Parts: sequence; C-alpha cells; structure tokens
Amino acid sequence: MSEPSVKLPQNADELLRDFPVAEPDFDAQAKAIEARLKGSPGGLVFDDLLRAPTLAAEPGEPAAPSSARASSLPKSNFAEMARKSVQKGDNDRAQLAKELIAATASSRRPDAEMVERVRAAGRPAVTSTPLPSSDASERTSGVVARTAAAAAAAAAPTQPPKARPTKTHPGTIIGIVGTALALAACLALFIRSGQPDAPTSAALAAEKAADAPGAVAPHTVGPAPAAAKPADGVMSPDQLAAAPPVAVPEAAKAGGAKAATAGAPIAGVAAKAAPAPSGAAKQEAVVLEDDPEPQKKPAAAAPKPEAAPEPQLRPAEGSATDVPLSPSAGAVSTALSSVRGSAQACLAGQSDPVTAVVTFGADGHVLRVSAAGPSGACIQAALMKAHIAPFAKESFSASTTIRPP
Amino acid sequence: MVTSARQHLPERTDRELVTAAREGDAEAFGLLVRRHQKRVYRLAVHLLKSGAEAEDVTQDTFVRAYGALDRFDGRSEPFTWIYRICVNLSLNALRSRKTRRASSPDDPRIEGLLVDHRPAGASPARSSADKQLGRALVEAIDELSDTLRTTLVLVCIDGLSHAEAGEVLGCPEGTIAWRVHEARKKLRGMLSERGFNDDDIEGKE
Repeated sequence: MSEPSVKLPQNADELLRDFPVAEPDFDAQAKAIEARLKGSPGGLVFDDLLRAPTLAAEPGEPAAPSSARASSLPKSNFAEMARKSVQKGDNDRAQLAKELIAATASSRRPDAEMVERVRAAGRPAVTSTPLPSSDASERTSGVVARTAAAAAAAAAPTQPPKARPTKTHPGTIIGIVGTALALAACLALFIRSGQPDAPTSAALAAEKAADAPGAVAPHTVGPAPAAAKPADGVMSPDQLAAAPPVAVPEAAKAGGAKAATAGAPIAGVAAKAAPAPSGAAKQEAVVLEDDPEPQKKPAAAAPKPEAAPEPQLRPAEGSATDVPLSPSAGAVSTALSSVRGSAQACLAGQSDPVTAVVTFGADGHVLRVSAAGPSGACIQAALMKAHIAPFAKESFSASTTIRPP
Repeated sequence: MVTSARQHLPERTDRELVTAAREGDAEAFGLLVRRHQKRVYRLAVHLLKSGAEAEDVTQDTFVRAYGALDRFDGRSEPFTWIYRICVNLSLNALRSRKTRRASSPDDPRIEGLLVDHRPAGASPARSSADKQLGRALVEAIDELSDTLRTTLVLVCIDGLSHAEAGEVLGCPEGTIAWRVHEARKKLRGMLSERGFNDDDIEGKE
C-alpha cells in the first residue's frame, strides 16, 4: 500500500489496519461451506458476480483512460453469445454464431496468420490501419506508423533536391512540393510536441487503445461506455435472429469499428441490449447490468451520490418482472433477516450459534428447516415464517447461522 | 495479510489449489476456504455492518466461487477473484435492504471494540481513547458512499495494494488512489467533527 497523502488523527491508521472484529467460529463455518458444496455443488453462479462490482462514480472522480476501460470489458462476450447459439442447434443461428465469432476475432488485433489469409484472399483490409507484417516485432499501431512517417519526413530535408538552374523539370516541382509538405508536417509535429504530455503519454495511451479489442481513440470518453453495453449483454438466440441487420448505432461503431464493418448485424444485435426471454438464456446469465463501468462516465453527469438515490445501484440478480429461475442471494438474505430476530430469541441464554438450512419452495414459502440443538424446533418455527418471491426452480436451500441475541 | 497466509502454506499456492479443485479435489478447495475465509468475512463485515449477514455472504462467496471455478481464467489472483464475488454479494445484499441502516447491534466491529485488546503496558486511558476512536471510525466509515467505503476497506483495512484493489473493483490504480485519498479526506473531516482533532497530524494537505 502506498503512503497515504491524507493523514488521519492520532492512531486511526493503526486502528484501521488492525481493526478488531468479533469473529465467528471459522472452523464451523468452513464445515458448513463444505456441507453446502456436498449438498449442491456450486449452485448457481450469475455472471454479474464475476464481473467488476457496479459502484457509482464519486463526484470529481477522474475518468479512466479508454484503454483501461476497454481492457476491463469482458472480451469474449460476442464469442460466448455465439457459442450459446451454436449449442441451440439451429442452422441459422449457428451461421449467425459463426459470423459473431468472426466479428469477435476481427475486432481483435489481427495476427500474422489472419493477415496472410486476408492477403491470400486478395481482399482489401477492412480498416484504414495498415495490416501488420508477418513479423510480430514489426507490428505497429497507427500512432507508431505516424511516428515513422514523421521520422521519414524529418529525414527528407537532409536530402534537398538538386538544383537545376536552366530547366524546370516536373520531378523537381514534385520534389519541392514534397519537401514543403514534409517541412509542414515537421512543423506541425514540433508544435504538437510542445504541448504537455503530448509526445509520450498520449502516444502510449493511443497505442494501448489500439491494442485493446474494440478500442477507441484516447479522450473519446463519451461514447465508450455506451459502446461497452452491447458487449456485456447476453441475449437469447431468438433476439440474435430478430435483430435488425442494418441498425448500427454510433456507439457500436465507436466501440468496435472493425466489428461494425465486418458485419452490421452483429453490431446491431449487440447494441440492442434487452432481457433474454428464453429459459436457457436466463439460466446462463440474468442480464441486469449492461455497463460494468458506469462510474467511468464523465463526472459532471453524475450528481453527488450521497444525495442522490444511487440510481446506478441495482441488484445484480433476479428480475422484477419475470419469475427468476432461482431466488437472488439478496432476496433470501432479506427474507431470513426478517425472521432472524425471532430465531435469535430461541437462543436466549445460550452461547453457541446454530446453523440452520432453510429450503424454500417454488412459491416462495419455506418447505422445511433443519436446525440442530435443543432450540432446533423453536428456530424451525421461527424460520418457517420467512417468505421470498416465487421462483422457477423446484426448491432452493440456503443455510444461515443464528447467533444468540 | 494474504501474503503472509500463503507463506504459512508454501507447499501449495492458491493457483495450485484452484487447479486441484477444478479437477475435483474438494480438499484443495477446503484449504482455499480456510485460507481466505477470515479475510473475506472481515471484508463483508465492513461492507454489511452485520455479523450474521457477513457470515452468510462469506459462505455464499465460497459456494459461488466453487461453482464458477471453471470460469476463473487465471488472469488475476484467485483471492482477488474471490474478493470480487464477495464484494458483489455484499453490494447485492446492501441494495436489497429497504433502508440504509446504521450499525446493527450485532455489528462485529462494535463487539470487537468492546473486547479489551490493550497491549501489555498500555494505559487504560489510552485503551479507552482507542475504543472511542474506533467507534467514531466505524461511524465515519459507514457514512461513506458504497464506492469509497468499499475501496477504503480493501486498501486501508484489508491491506490490498492499489493494483490488487483495482483487480477486485475492475478499475485503474489511479482511480483507486483517488478514491482512497478522497475517503481518507472525508474520514478526517468526520473524525474532526466528532472531536478527534488532528493535533498530531503531520504533513497535512
């Protein structure tokens, strides 16, 4: 940890580092975890739990560089969508999936093999960026290429055209014009190099941005979060098939020009982030958060989070309109919290906590509760009153630890 | 520290344990649980302010992690990946609460402050002052936004580096540094309001 710049009074830092926290019986907890894993190995894991937490940006928080934003996005989202479509078995969807995989690949930096294949096919490159050579060490982004051009331009004045006093040859005119252009380019670069941070950090940032898949130019912070949305949305194959083929939003273009040029349907599909209606898609991921990095939006647009009702803070699981396959952890936690007080009352006068396993039925009511110990029956009765919203699965079990009041 | 925890078990790294667990070695995952559950619990406590909920989230974190082992791509350290699941589950639990409540009676931080951790030779007056400061710190931390509190807990309490915290929260180190600075600034202001003046502060801004 780096040395903090803001000093806290007295020994607050020391307290922070070794904050005393009353600890539960970790051994019992580890056994409870192992028991849960044996009972239902793994359980459901929503994609949202594996993504970066959605935290609102603080007022005045510096915007992240676009390269960092692009690199933090899930990079295989198009490909995952495609694989899901392939698994459905429908030929049309499989074809679309192949296109999606191709688009994903094309949105990445082309490798030597791809370059050779494109060259062999005799097709022009789809982007304005020159295709890299087969030697990986010679790969350059646009910025580096421009630098090389500037270097070439800088070298040009050292070889002035030979003077021909008697005859004005067309080549001479071209040479003079070329030299003038080269000098102008040098002058422009020289002026730009006088600006702060321009020559090194900006060029490096641009190069990093060019390296990232679907990267945008530095400082184009506006459309980048919007461009991130489609990449995060996991859609059902039905939606993929139904998406308009020509609707390519500006944001999608900004997020991945190569993907957009490689296949307009892909960008259009991806840009249309909508909840997946099919059960299979729901099982894979519940899509609630489209933008994993909303805090990177310009700070001016975000009000003070403490005062605002935290509009970007949404539950990562479940759906308000659909019956979810399984209840969210938050819903179960809330339901258990509501009856925890009466369950804790059962342990009055005792010192040991009790771990109870509550099984909810599909209608949201508790089917059974297992709790050991002399207060087990009392705890069972208390926890039976818990209730959650209905869900699709047959039953759902959750364990909770009841501690004495 | 996670690092020191690893030093106690040098024979198998977290990555090795994850690999073994993927191949069906339940004992390896159990070892991973025991290695990190304390820190995961402490992280959840500071985010949720409730011991019971923190225990639930800790259990859930490892159960979810086990279910998603195949999706661990190895680009980050296993513990930052587990922390990320814990932070997400904690935030989900916070958001599902109807009201933003203050510290609950079963807040393990408050319970921890009630226990006398006075080192040998420390004066009772110092111990009492520490407890008061601890309580004020808890209140001040709880007044921070979720964003600042989460970052502060990861860096200043849990001891993660800015890079590790950035891995957990999915943002650049610079953003983490800014948030830590901002959180500490606010903490200092709130502690000052509670009478903990920066008499012996050096190198103020």
